[in-house]
Amino acid sequence: MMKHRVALLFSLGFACMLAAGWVGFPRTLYSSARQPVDFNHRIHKDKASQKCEDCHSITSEGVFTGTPALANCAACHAEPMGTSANEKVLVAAWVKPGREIPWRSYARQPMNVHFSHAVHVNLGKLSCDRCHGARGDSTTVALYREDRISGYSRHAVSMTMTDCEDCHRQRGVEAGCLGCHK
Amino acid sequence: MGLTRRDFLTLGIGAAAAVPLTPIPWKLLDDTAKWSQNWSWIPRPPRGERSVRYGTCTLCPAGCGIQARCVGKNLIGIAPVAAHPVSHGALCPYAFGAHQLPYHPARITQPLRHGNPASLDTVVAEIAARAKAGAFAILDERPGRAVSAAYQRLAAAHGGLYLVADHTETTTLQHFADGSGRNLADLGLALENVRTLVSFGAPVLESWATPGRVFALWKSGQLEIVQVEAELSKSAALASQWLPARAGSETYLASLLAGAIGIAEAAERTGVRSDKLAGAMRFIHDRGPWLAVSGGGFPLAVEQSIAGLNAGSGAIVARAASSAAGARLARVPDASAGARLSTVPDASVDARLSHVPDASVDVLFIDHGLLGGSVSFDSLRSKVRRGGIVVSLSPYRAGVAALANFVIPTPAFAESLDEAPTPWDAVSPSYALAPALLDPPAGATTALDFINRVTGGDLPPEAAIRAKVGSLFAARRGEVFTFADRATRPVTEFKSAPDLFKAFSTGACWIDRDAKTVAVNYRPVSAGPEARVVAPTRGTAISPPLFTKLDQESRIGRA
Amino acid sequence: MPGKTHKYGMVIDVDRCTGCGACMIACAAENNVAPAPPRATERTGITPMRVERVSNRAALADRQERFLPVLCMQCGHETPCVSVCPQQAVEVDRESGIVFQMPQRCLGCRYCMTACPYHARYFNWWDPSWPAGMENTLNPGVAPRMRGVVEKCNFCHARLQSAHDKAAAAGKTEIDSADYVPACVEACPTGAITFGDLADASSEVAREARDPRSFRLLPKLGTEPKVYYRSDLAWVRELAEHGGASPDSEPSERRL
Repeated sequence: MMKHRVALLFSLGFACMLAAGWVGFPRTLYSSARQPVDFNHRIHKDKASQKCEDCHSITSEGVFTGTPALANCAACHAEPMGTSANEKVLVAAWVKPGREIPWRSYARQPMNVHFSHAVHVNLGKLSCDRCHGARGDSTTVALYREDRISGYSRHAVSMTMTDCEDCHRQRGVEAGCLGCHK
Repeated sequence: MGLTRRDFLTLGIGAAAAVPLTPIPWKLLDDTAKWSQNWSWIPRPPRGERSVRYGTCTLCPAGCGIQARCVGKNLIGIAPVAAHPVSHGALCPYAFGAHQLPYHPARITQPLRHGNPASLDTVVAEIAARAKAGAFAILDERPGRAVSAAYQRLAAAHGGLYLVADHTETTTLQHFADGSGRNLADLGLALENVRTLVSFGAPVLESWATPGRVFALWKSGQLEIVQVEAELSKSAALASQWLPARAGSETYLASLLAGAIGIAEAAERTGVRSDKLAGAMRFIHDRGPWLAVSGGGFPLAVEQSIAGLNAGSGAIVARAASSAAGARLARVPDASAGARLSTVPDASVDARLSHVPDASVDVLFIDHGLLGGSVSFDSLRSKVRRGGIVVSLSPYRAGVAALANFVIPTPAFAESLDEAPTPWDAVSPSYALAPALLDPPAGATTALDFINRVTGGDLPPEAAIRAKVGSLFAARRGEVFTFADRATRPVTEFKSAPDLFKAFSTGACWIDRDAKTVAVNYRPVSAGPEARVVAPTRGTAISPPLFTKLDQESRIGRA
Repeated sequence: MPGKTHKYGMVIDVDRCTGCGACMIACAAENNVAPAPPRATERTGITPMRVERVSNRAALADRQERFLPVLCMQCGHETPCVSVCPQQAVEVDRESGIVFQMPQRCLGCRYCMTACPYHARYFNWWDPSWPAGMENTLNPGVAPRMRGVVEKCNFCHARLQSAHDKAAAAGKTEIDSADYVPACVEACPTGAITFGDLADASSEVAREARDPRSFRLLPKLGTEPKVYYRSDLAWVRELAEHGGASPDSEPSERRL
């Protein structure tokens, strides 16, 4: 026992730090918050027959409208249409008072990044699922987790410059710095 | 056996060995770099829906059409309106920095009383008492608007004076007005009918008259410039001929042009070489009709001789009375109960500040316009009785407002409905509205609203403007150019005055190109009071913040 | 972006420039350049578009002057700033020909400022500072820069990107040239600046650039600028060819 004391203590310290680094560190580094309304994409896709572009569209000027404004929701949900608690919250807390919902953006990029949905969707023919996953089948929205130090969301880690470069390289599409930066 | 220090050390070393195998150091390094991207003092442009809104720049009398690029409710940039009937698609440096004027550091949002913030009610009470007790006057630094007519109306109704200042740019035209018994506002320069513009120190290719109009004629070669100036100003540098007459010798050039003296004498008096003078005379006379204008600031006799050069040339015209009807404000109902309809006086009838006797005013209101105005404080002060007060109505604590007894904060650029009446040089009457593109801050009140409040006037700005639009509609003259689709429609195509008002509010300009004009004859007024209170037309108390590019970060200076 | 390559360039009519500076203000507004702090001077300020006043240096009575808008010449051959940058913070964009400066990569060595023969590059000596609330007037299409980096004219890349977005919305890879007008071109009240694709032989800018009256600044350096000038005055052309001392003509020298 004595002989292995050093090895044991060393391994113990090693293991503890591994655990702290891989489990404890992410837990403390990322803050979490819920979205103001727990939106159910699936119901809207199935029952309302909506497609992605019905709420997340590209204008004629080529600007992506992003997370929809309240008017989008209020168009149908002036009064609760179903029985869910979430919808009641939507109508009572946001639609009736006319307050814009402060959605937290998962994919916010640094200020010097120019990403054009118009180019990628219309010209690149990328489906929404390719980058955002099968969002349409989800019944809840993900917990929003934000890196306390950098200020970016945890989800943005899968949308970094190297991810863009990989896809561009795969498809043989050159962009140059000017293509993606502003 | 307990844990020793060595044990803790071993534990620590084990932990340290594991650190590079965890995300901790790598993520922290990465994150501190990203953290530096989100520091609070890093400027963040606004986010939101992008749109374009149309309006008119009212920083100077030209009234050029503008497009404003917006993000949400914020203005982020200004662009010109091509094919605009007044501005011809031109804009000056002021317009491009104008969207930042509402945030100028000199901006005030609370009334100032002797330099200290005061509540609006206190200030209103004090000024109203003084205006009631004594003689008040309203100095309008932007005459010709429907709001100007409202000032005249309330001055007439409540025993006050309506005043306008003389400006450098309109010196020659004012002489013509005085000498012909007409109003300055009815006159214009027939620039399209002349081939050469002889400028005595007027910054004709800088900020002068309606710049878009001048540039359009100049760049096509239709209008050439002969600049008489001691200094190589920008206009002199760009002119076809620069006659560097010694300061004070301009009168000899006027005499030369009039044929009263010969080249040799003119050369000797002015210091300009004979061959240059001869060349210039040939140039001017060979090209055809020409117009002489003064930049102002010369002695009366010199101004008269310059104005006299245009006698009989037909280059200075007056709009005939019938076509001036569209410019007159229609009958406006009295807001007071059971009142009769009253006629609003013609907005072109002015009283000149220069002609007001010294020390005759108790309360002098000054509507400074959007850039804080330009008449000097000393010249104003002399008109005010001892113990009287100067009330500046301006968005900024600058210029006269920095010295006035009271300053009332008014809306800044694009914060309130404003008007662009016919520019002083124009031959065709025109009118445009500048809709509010931004919300004014809570403390701001329009100049007319404030003066109404303290004098008992009852015609608010929007009512006056609607009445003006109503009169344009009723006169059935002219056409309307809408900025969004760049289409021109006759006024008669609009169904109602509110319909026309709506078009103006989304970017439109009315112009009457068929307005008849008559040539004006000039007779020098031999014994008239000299205009002692002369302001530079485009003098301003503040500039757009980005003007440091011109004044400080380069050597190009202002236009 | 796949597709045709372009060579965006300009022809500036010096005889039509009135020196008003509208282009300078419009450029600063479009590119989120801050108003200068009190200690900035003409050497330490930031003017990606800058109008210089030049003269024929004759005696005052015979003096002639013109105004020369100077911006990044977008050098097409052996681009000096690109070749010296240790960070590859500037590159010649293959698709548009624009020499694109990325301040976020810049480490502030200012080697490029030394290398640029046209003095068209500017260093952020201070953090930009706007009066309270004025940040609401910033253009979201252009990233702000902090102190310590170099910036210059990028031919209003934000407008090019918007033009591409608009074309993509209609499913097109090629932009409509009317949608891409840099701020200075749009601002000029006399229309002295013509802008477009020099590689498109039928475009107005290409025709004007080919005109024998058009010339470029310091042509013997071989930088092949994409910004051309034209003037009927021989001395302006002479000055462009050989360069000269920095803007002459002090205000005091202009009065008799």
